[in-house]
Amino acid sequence: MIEALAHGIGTLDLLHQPPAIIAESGASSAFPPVFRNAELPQPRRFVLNKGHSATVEVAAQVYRQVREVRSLTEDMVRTIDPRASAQREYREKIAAMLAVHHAFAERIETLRSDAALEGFNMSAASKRDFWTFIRSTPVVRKGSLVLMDNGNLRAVWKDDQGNQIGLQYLGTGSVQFVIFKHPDRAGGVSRVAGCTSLADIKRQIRAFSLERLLVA
Amino acid sequence: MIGDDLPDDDHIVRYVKATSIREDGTVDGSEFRLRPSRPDDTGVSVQWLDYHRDLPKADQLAQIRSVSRLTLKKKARFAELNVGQVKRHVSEELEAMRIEHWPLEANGEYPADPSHAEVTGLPPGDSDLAALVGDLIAQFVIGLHPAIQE
Repeated sequence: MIEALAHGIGTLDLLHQPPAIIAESGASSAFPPVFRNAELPQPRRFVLNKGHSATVEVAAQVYRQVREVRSLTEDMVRTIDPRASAQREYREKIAAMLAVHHAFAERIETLRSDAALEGFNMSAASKRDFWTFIRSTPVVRKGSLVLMDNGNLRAVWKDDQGNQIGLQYLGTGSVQFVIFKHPDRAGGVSRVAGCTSLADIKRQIRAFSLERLLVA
Repeated sequence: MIGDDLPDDDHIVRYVKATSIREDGTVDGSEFRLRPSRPDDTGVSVQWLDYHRDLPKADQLAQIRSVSRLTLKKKARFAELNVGQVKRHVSEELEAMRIEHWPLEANGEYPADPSHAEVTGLPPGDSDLAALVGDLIAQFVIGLHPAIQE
């Protein structure tokens, strides 16, 4: 108290109460104020003294710090905002998908011109089936594409472990598939071939847990 | 002799069109199927590389190019396979497959082709088994050589 008085930030007035206590006493406090001579306290006017000035300076400094922290926080929120992040990821996936589609289109043009030199044509129905399949496969990986003697396109997706998906687009809304899966349950290799609809082939691929060959 | 199995240690080559060579340089299995458009075909034509046993490989390939009855294209390749390796692995799915020596006699403008051989015992070209066996054979291509000498 003495030190506080020496710095001029205190008072000897017994009835003086800091604003916080005044505010609290107005509410239902467990410690009601003691009134001298049973007189009701007069309304008080608060005057900013040195102590209050120091408090204001500290408060202003804290306010500036809070604003700075809030600004930094807002920047971080913008950076890691899940919605913004998802949008960016979505845009990247769209760009990658378009790049794959473009690469497929270029390959088809090369195959078409090579086939003309060999004396055969590409099947328009097979090409239509191919694009139907590709467009129905979000974030499809770039597979290899060849043109068979019968004019049908055949796409192959494979990895370094010997897993492979080969799809001949028959032009009838169906594909002839060949799937190699390493290893199978016995540690060997599963090989299966068949024909199925464009709609069903993804189920076949899932059954062999080989979606990762097809989808990025 | 005609129809004899080729020795397991020997090698064959198959002419592969540019349209059947994948972007990664591997050969698609569709080149090892019988052609549905040619139902009379009994086998897939190949050339017995080691028929010319005493020649270096470059000269073996030159001999094969010189008697080929195909119109060789610049971007096409000869895919090389080992006889025994192909037979061993394909037998897991198809026991009937053989690789036999079928030399061709001279015919009109075509000279004799003593190195001609055939992969026989294959299923019909448009069947699912043919697709599977074709892809299996293609896995054992051990080299690609230019169809036309560069």
